Amino acid sequence: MTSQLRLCMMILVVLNLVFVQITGAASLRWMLPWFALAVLAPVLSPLQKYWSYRLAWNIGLLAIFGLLLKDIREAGLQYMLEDGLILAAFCQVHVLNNLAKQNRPDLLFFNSFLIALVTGFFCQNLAYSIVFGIYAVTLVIAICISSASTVGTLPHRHLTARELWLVLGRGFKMAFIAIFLTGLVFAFWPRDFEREGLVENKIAQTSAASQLGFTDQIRLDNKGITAKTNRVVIRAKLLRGSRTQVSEYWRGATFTNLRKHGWWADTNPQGNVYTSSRRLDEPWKRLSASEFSRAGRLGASVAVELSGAHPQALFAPLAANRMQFECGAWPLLDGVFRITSRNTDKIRYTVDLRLADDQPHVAKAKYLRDLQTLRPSALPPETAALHDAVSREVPPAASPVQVAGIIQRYLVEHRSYFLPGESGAADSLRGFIAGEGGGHCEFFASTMVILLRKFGIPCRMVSGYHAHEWNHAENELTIRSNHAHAWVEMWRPGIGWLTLDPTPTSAGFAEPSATMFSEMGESLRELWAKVTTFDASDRSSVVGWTKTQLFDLGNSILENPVWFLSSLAALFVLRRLMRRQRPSPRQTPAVTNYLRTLRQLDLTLRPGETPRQLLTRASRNDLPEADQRLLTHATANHEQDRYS
Amino acid sequence: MRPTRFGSKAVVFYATLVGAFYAVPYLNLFFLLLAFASVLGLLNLYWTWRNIRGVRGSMSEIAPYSADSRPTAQLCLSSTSTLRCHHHLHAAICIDGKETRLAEHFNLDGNQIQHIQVQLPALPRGIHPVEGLRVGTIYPFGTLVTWRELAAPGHLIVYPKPADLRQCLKTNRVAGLSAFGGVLSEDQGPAGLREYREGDELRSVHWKATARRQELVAKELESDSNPGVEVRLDLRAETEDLEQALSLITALALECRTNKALLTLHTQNHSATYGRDHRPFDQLFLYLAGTGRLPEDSDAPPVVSPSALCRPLTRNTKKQRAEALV
Repeated sequence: MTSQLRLCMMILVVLNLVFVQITGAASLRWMLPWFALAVLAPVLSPLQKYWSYRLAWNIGLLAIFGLLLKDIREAGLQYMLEDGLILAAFCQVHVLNNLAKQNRPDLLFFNSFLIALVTGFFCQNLAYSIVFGIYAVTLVIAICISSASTVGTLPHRHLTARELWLVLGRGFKMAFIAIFLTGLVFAFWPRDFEREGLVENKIAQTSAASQLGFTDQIRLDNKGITAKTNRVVIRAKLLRGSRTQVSEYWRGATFTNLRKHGWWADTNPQGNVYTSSRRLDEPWKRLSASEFSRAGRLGASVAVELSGAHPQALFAPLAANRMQFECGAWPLLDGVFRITSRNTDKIRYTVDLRLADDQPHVAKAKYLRDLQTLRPSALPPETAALHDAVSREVPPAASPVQVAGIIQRYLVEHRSYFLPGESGAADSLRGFIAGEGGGHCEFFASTMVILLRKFGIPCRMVSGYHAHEWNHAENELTIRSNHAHAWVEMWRPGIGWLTLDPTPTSAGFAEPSATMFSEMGESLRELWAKVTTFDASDRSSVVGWTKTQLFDLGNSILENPVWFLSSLAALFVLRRLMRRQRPSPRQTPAVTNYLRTLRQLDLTLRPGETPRQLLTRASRNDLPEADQRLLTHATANHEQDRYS
Repeated sequence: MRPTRFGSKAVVFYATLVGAFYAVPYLNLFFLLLAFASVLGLLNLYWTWRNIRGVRGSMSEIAPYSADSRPTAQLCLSSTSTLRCHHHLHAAICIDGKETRLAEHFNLDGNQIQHIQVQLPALPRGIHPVEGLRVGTIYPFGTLVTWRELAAPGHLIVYPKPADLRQCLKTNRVAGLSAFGGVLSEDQGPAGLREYREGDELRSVHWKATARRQELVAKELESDSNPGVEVRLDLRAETEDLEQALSLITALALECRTNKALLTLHTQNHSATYGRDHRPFDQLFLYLAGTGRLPEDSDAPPVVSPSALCRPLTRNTKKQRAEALV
């Protein structure tokens, strides 16, 4: 491997390490030595002739492998992908430092692409898109340099400066063509956006805890990174009323009991209710086999199509007071529904929402006990300190709503939002409460529930989806798997349930001043979000827009043929002019014509043979008269062009 | 067009990616990366094909050359493609089922004719049919190799490696060779004058005599009137002896050709004289390249004059020489 190729490989490996870094699978403190080893590879790799150097690397690799195995055993198989990513990155550094001159760098290329791919499962933010853009160009250039350096089967030829410059230029051009065509394929290729995986169930069993999505149980000791998926799970079309009447919070399960490792749903899969607080929710009345209702005047109405969110859970806002299903469904006593029978993968139902000014069901106080209970064994020891800190900000006569507001503000100000496994995220709820790191919605909501109950305010945890993606043109709400969310419902006697969301959104933090760069960043973020959330409706929009544009273009051509033809002629002339400017001093039309004639007559110039000598040779070989004339003419033109 | 080793690995890797894509639920980013890999693969097919399209050429005629030497040949390449430059081409020749790279990493400008000096591989004595001459490329990604066939000479004639004749003359190792010392000597004087014949070199013209006689007169060298070397080759000899004899005859032939002397060769299946006004020496080289050992019960070569050089020595002669030495 030449030093030029080794430099390219070094850049690729550094980009691989950046990929791992942006997933947050390993902290920067861990990654820094790897970055150093990758950057120092050109200096270190000559040492590979010493057996002690190779031995040290192999021992290091085995040690890392052992550590990761230990981590998998402790944390569970669901972290295998994450640990595999770290191991793959270290292997890249290892291979880079131990690749001998007689080795090909094929493994480095494949492994680097694999790392880029797997990173996409965990991290789909703008940083990934930028790093991948740089990576794609570097990969193409590195492969081109590898190919240009190959003599026989090994890349050991040092390119000259001119060759390197040419390869770089062409590599850039090729990478951009490939990226452009990839964009077209991505936008236009017909595919099933709702496709289930062939081995989905097996994977789901092992990685359920690390997937971001709705679950019946909330574990608060997750320390793995989160695989984000953006599959559409719910589409809700507004049939009646206005969008403002449709709540952003679509409930799937409620949680009252906090245990040591997390929350357990108030209802088990069989529909049994564990807590006495069940009577707080207004019961549903069954109108028919597939229709249920509660008291209250009907407001907005939405038609819901649910697919792949959860095998049994049905989702609806808190204000739902009439539900009509196309499948078998049964209400639970905490107000949510479960599927009892289904015919298709897609579940369809209609939800009617009551008007906001309607009074909900008012329950008796005796049912509130569970909503105020905190088991000491489930509470992290650091809770007391946090409670003290919040209490200092709560005025003596503050109402429960004011307390909730103070807690919410305190959490937003003192804790940051991070997805599990991201750099800066706490390992557990204990770490989050202690302020060791930030956390995600489940940590924020759990902390709020604990603090509210500490203040004696009844509340519970709710999980479901935070729906905010409205298609304004079609009045359709799209909910994706990565919109899964957890929030708090606080019970107010005489009022009912109040929805509280303590999780700060990106806008909840200090609002950055709108500079040119921040606006540009925001635009890029939005653009990238369109890529990651691209679905069948987006594709049909793009295809429709393209068809419309082509149709309009066709129409305009038919209406203004002169304009079109003159544009074509201008393009043709421009192309000719650009071709003429190419530096080819020896190339003349006569030579081109002569070569074309030779090709037609299947003749080849021998080394050192002049066109005149070829003509003589061809005439000796009984060339047909017409061909003879053609060759004589081409030869004469050629000679006139060269010697006249 | 076929995949290289790297290309084969890439195909397996790509197939694995496709399998993984269908194994897990649809994910936009996975599709995007898979699309990128697919587009790169398809573009690679096109770019590799385009890099070789329109390249044509041939190799110059190769004169017979001696075994174990590497003569230089000229590749004449041209391109009729609109491509500005064909990058990183390589040329290879296939002889006796073995492919040898002649040139690596050369660029060819579009619509140009380019001559490239290449060194042919060292080959053993024989007539080697050229099975293919082609120019290929793995550019740009090294995953595919594609070829264009070029016009190639039909055979490569490789005559035996010539023996060191000067050394043989000095050490008197070859019996009877000293008799031809005059023929093999380079410093030959003029033996007389004669009329100029077509084909005579200009330096052989005797200008003073030409001026006197008002017609072209050429100097006649000793070798012109020399009967030359006569060799009798017995093809029934042991292989090693036969190869040595062929080497010696090759050396003699080369000397005779340089000194414009004649060489007559008599074997069981061949009898001819080579040199001026006779057969060209290239035919002798062709014979020497292609001849082989005959069975021991074959006929003896024809009887020749006593002054002829007989190679290899018969067993009796060898025995006599050994006794004489003792």
